[in-house]
Formats: sequence, C-alpha cells, structure tokens
Amino acid sequence: MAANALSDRTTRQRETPSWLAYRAVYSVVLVLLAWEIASRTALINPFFMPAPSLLVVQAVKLTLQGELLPHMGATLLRALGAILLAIAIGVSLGIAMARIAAVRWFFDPLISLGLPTPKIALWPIFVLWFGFHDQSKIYLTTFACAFPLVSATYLATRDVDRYLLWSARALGTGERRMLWKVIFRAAVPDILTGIQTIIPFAFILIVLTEMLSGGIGLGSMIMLAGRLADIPTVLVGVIGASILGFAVIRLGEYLRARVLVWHEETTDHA
Amino acid sequence: MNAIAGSNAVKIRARGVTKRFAVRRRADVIAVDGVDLDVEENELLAIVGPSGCGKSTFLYMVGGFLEVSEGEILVDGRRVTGPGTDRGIVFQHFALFPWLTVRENILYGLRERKVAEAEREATTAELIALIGLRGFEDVYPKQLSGGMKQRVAIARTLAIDPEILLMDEPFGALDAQTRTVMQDELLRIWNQRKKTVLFVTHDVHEAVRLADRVVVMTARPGRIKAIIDAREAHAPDAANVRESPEIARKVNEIWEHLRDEVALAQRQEAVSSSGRGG
Amino acid sequence: MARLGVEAFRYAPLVLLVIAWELAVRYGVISPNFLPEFSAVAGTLWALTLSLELPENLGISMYRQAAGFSLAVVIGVALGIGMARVRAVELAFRPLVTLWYPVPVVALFPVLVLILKLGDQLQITVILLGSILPVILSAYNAARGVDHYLAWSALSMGTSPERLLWKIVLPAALPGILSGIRVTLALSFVLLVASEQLGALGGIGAFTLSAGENGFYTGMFAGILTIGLVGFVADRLYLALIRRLLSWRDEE
Ligand SMILES: Nc1ncnc2c1ncn2[C@@H]1O[C@H](COP(=O)(O)OP(=O)(O)OP(=O)(O)O)[C@@H](O)[C@H]1O
Ligand SMILES: [Mg+2]
Repeated sequence: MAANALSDRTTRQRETPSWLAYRAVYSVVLVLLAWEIASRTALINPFFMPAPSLLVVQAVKLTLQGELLPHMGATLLRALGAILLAIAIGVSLGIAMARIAAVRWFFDPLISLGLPTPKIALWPIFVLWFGFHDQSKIYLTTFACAFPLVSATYLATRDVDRYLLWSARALGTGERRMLWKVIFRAAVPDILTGIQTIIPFAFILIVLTEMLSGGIGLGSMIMLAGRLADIPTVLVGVIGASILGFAVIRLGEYLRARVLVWHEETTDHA
Repeated sequence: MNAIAGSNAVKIRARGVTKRFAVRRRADVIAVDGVDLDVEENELLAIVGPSGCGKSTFLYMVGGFLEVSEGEILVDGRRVTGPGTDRGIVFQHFALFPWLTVRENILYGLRERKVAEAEREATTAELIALIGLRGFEDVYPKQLSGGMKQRVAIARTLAIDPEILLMDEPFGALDAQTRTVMQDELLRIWNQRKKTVLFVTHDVHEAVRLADRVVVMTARPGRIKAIIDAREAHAPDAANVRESPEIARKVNEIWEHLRDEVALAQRQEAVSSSGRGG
Repeated sequence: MARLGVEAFRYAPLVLLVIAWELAVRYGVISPNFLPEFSAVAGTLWALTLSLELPENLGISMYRQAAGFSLAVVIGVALGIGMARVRAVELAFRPLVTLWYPVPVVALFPVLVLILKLGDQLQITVILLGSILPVILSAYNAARGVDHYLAWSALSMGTSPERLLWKIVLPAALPGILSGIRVTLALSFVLLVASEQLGALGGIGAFTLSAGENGFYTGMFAGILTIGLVGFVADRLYLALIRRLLSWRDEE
C-alpha cells in the first residue's frame, strides 16, 4: 500500500531529531569552546561574557562558601510547591468544570479572560496581600500556572465525557469504576502534557518574583550580584536556574513515561 | 523482452533504471529494479502492478523528483536531471495547494509561466468547465470531495499543457460515472493535443480501454513482467469510444500475469508488517 | 436579541464578581487597605486616563512590546525556516538554540542592564531574547513538515527552486508558524511587564509597581486592569487575524 511508503517515511523522520540531538552535544561543546576562546582573547567583552571556565570556578567557589546551594534549594522548593499546588487546583477545577454545569458557567469567562493576560502584572497585589516572603511568590506562580492547566484539563476531560456518558448508559453497571478508568485512559495524557508545559513557566516566575523581592533564592542572588556588577555570579545563578528547570522537565518526562506505562498495562487487562 | 520496440520516435527512454531507498537499520528497499522501457511519442502507456511494487517511484523518476540509483532516463534524448514543465504530473494524493482556491490552483502554473492574463483566464475557465466544477471556482480544496480534488489536480496539470503527462492513479478517487467521463475526456485531449501519457492504474480494464500498451510490473522489487499491446483490442474506427469483446480478453490476459505478483506482494506485506511489529 | 441574552448569561459571572468585590469592600468584609472598592479603582482609572498618566505609560509599553515582538517574529521566522532549509544555518544555530532553550531570559536582566543601560532598548531586548524561541521552533518544525508533494507540484509547474520558499514553503508552514507566534505574543507581554518591574524608565509595569510601593492602591489596581485588558484584546485580535489568514485550512 501507499501507507507503506508513508510509514517508512515517518519512521525515518522520527529518527532524524535524535540524530540531531546526538550531533547537538558536540556542537554545544563547540559553542562553549568558541565562547571560551573568544572571551579569553577579548574578542567578546570578557567583562560581560566571562569564559565558561571562569564560571565553573565561580560556581565551585560559591558552593564552597555555601552561597549557591541554599539559593538553589529555596528556588527549587518554591517552584515544586507552586507546581504541586497548581496541579491540585488546576486539575480539580478543570474536571469540575467539565462535569458540573454551574462550575463551568462561573469559571469559563474568567479562564478565557485570564488565560492570555500577563499574570506577573499582579505581583504588587500579591505582595500587598501576602507580603514579600515565600507565600506571594508561590501563590502568584500557582495562580499563573493554574490557568493553562485548568484549560488543558477541562478540554481533555470534556471530550472524554460524552463517550463516558454514552457508554455508561449502555452498560448500566459499574459507572463509578468506569468513570475512573475511562477518564484515566483518555484524559491523563493531555493533562500530563498540560503539567509539563507549566514546569518551565513555574521556574521562570519563581526566579522572577525572587528577583523582584530579595531574600533567599536564585533570583535574589542574581539581582544582588547584578547590583554589584558581579557578572560571573549572575551567570552562575542563571545557569543554576536553567539546570533546575531542565532537571524538573526531565523528571516530568520520566514520570509521564512511568504513569503512561502503568496506564497502558491496566487497559490491556480490560 | 519487447520493451524496446516500435517505429515511432521514442519520447521517454528508460535504461536499467533502478531505485534503492536507504532505510535506517534495515536493508535497502529496492523499489524499482533494472527497468528498460521505451515510450513512444504520443503513446498512451499504462503501468499496472501490485501495490508497493514501485509504480509511483518510477513515475517520480521520470518526473525528475527522485534521482535514479542506477541506469538513466532520457526524455527527447536528454537525460532527466530534475523536474520540468515539459512533464506534467498528477499525484496519487492530488497535492493541491490548500491555501489556493480551485481557480487559483489551476491558474498557478499559468502564472508561474507568465502567460498573458486574458489567455490564462480563458484556459482556466475552459478547464473548470471541462472538469465540471463550475460554481466551485472560489472554493478551497478542503471543501471538495476526493473526486473533485482529483479533477482539479488533473485540470491544474492540463493547464500548463505539458508534452508528457505523468498520472499516478488519476481516476482512483472518482465514482464510476465520473471515471468513465474523465477517461473519455483524457482520450479526447490526447487525440486533440497529441501528448505522451504515462499513467499508473490499479484498474486493469481502464488500462486496456485507454492505453496503447500496458506494462505489467512484478511485486517488489519492481521489474517489467510483460508488455501487452492493447491497440488490437480497440475498435478501429472510434477513437473515443473503446468498447469491444476484445477488451475482456485482454483484461484476462493481463490478469494472468498479475495474479501471482499480487499474491507475492501480499505475502511481502504480511512479512514486513509482522517484522515491524516485533 | 436571543443571542444577546446568551452572551449576557455567559459573561454574567464577571459582572457578579465585580459586584461581589464592590459590596464586600463597601460592607467591610474585606478591608479597603487590602482591596480598594471597584468603584474607586474605576474612578482612578478614569482620572489617570484623563490626566494622560496611564495613556502615556501605556504608549511607552506598547512601543516596546510592538518592537520586541515584531523583531522576535521576523528574526525567529527567518531563522527557523533557514534552519529547516539550509544545512549550514541549521548546523550553526542548532547548538545555540539547544543552549538557549532552558535559560530563563529575564534572569539575565542584571547583565542586560549593565550592557544596554535603562531605556526602551532594554525592554525590547528582553522581549526579543525571551520570546523568540517559540517562533524559531514552530517555524522550524512547520517548514520541515511541508509536504514534499506540494513542492514537487510547484517545481513541475515551472516554479524555480529559489522561489519555492515564497510560493510553497511559507504558505504551507503558515499555520504552524502562526500558532507559535500566539505563544510568543502572550510571552512578550509577560516579559514586557516583568522587565518593566525589574527596572525601566516609565511604562505601565513600572507605573503599577511604583504605585503599589507608594501605597497608591487604586492606581495600582487600575494599572493592572489595563495591562490585563490589553493582553486580552491583543490575543483576541490575533485570533481574529489567524482565522482570516487561515480560512483555507482544513481542520479535522
Ligand atoms: N522514501 C522512501 N523510503 C523508503 N522506502 C520507500 C520510499 N518511497 C517508497 N518506498 C518503498 O518503495 C516501494 C515502492 O513504493 P511505490 O510508492 O512506488 O509503490 P506503488 O507501486 O506506487 O504502490 P501503490 O500502488 O500502493 O501506490 C514500497 O515498498 C515503498 O515502501
Ligand atoms: Mg503509488
């Protein structure tokens, strides 16, 4: 069949990116090397773009002085807290909207109005309400992340619902069990995708609110170092935040694979 | 093998044409294997063969879209190195431009060739009438049925009036009635404008009815199994209406060649899909 | 009339929320130091509009947003398509994109301030650097995903390989590119406000933050409402534009 040629083509396409990713490792090393040389030879301003090796030295120094890990830990904990809170609120509200007409009626215009607006603008309000400490940072991030998550969960669950009602009526029995199973079979992948997309966003917002408020956290460390024109420390902070975000994104991918494997297995028995 | 024959001028000449596709982590797929074929000027040549035997691949090489792995293809004695407006093609899956309306799709080639506006409008109107899509001029392809899309694809290719028409199952998506009408239309155009037509079909009856010669290909790797002259089956006087008891006999003759190949192709399919699953 | 009723019913929760806000503050359920009455916020919004304080700051912000966003779109589309079509461009930029991908660009603000100094160029750069990635990636993926039969058709009808980019690749990739740009649009507003809060000469984000710091809470709320409204309207306008540009698209 022609589908043959098509499927062959798709397998090849799917393999191309991994090949590129493999290549990318070398090219990233190459970029770092070029940066190192350019900075050392003052081809680029070594004050603004200190060589990567100096950044490594700076990172080690800060770690030994106990000035890096506490900041990273604070940022990580806040981000994880905000993400978990956003999942709890976003997923349950999304499901409630899909299943209960009154909830849908009330929240639909709020979500569609709030989704495209920049929630960071609410920062002064959150400071006014919750002060300068952990709460305002975590709550603002939770609030901002909840919107896309509610929307993703609502869409995923709503589309299941028709099928669910239809088959529940046909079979008559075990409705609750089936609700659980059907929702999980169909909605979980989309909900997980929603969760995965808010992860980097949560990190950015936590770092940003830290930058706006001082205290402990990578954002505060970055801002303070910036005021002292200590660019190596700023860049170490930025890289630290990138690594944290990257690690949690990877963790999300790993958990997704685990959850979906488990879920495939259970559906196989059905 | 009587693939290389005929007294007329040769329009398309294929010599030892082979196409290998590299597939990662698997042996190369040989889609076309050592095909020798001469298509005469103004000939209507049909290619039949089991699914996946390399018919489309061969057509794409004549079109200049794919390079030959071995051998060569000559058109008017010149080696094919790439696509050209001398060879128009109708793809199996139409490949209409979804962002252009029916009219704009048909106009596309005329605009690219900088045909004068009055002329290109006239040509387009004529072709839209020909394919029976009046009233659909300003509609986007998404609003058309499969058969309508196919007709637009044919009109779009006819618009640039190429010397050679390459058609990959051009009537595959049409209902039976439209199919007969379009077949007769193809014959009419072919008689009128004298084109060399190379077309792939799964419909053996259609092949016999339309073509001067029918090439039967083997299961993959595609080779030429037989070439059957269908002219003798056509009613001698009527150029446009080709129905005769002879046709049924020719169809049978071709099916005799084809049967084993189709069975073989199906076995290949089963093997390769189970291999893919494991 | 019936349609109007349906719309009114749909947006009724917003109205209810505003009424609840007003009443809760007026009757002392919530302290006005915490949340000024809606009517007070609306009054301030009106006064700030008349005094041109709000329009001026908004104008400054919109200029920055428009410049940063347009630059991100133009450069991002060019780079994404270039990477998809030209191997040399792909090899040159792929590692940069890979490195850039996880970096929270706003965190580079302190460095950018030192390099660029305060001024519009600072916000424009933050928006450009922070929002270009979705454009690059969507343009790259869309241009790579263009059905090669479309290109083959065009070639056989006389389109030269050089013109293929304009005639086929760009229109065929447009749906993918436009959906990436929608993400960038939302992101550009976040970056605008964030970078103005971090440090700027004027602009609605800076105005809102300083209003809050000075205890001018009705002004703060008025500014925030304005930002939200602008972001929302921009998104709706963009959606309408997409719908027009992509009316040909076949959505299954
Ligand atoms: N780009 C490609 N990469 C790998 N294999 C390919 C590629 N294109 C085609 N093939 C393989 O080459 C063989 C011939 O394909 P082709 O499309 O020419 O068959 P076909 O005779 O036109 O089939 P159908 O009648 O179903 O249209 C098939 O087995 C197909 O899987
Ligand atoms: Mg084919």
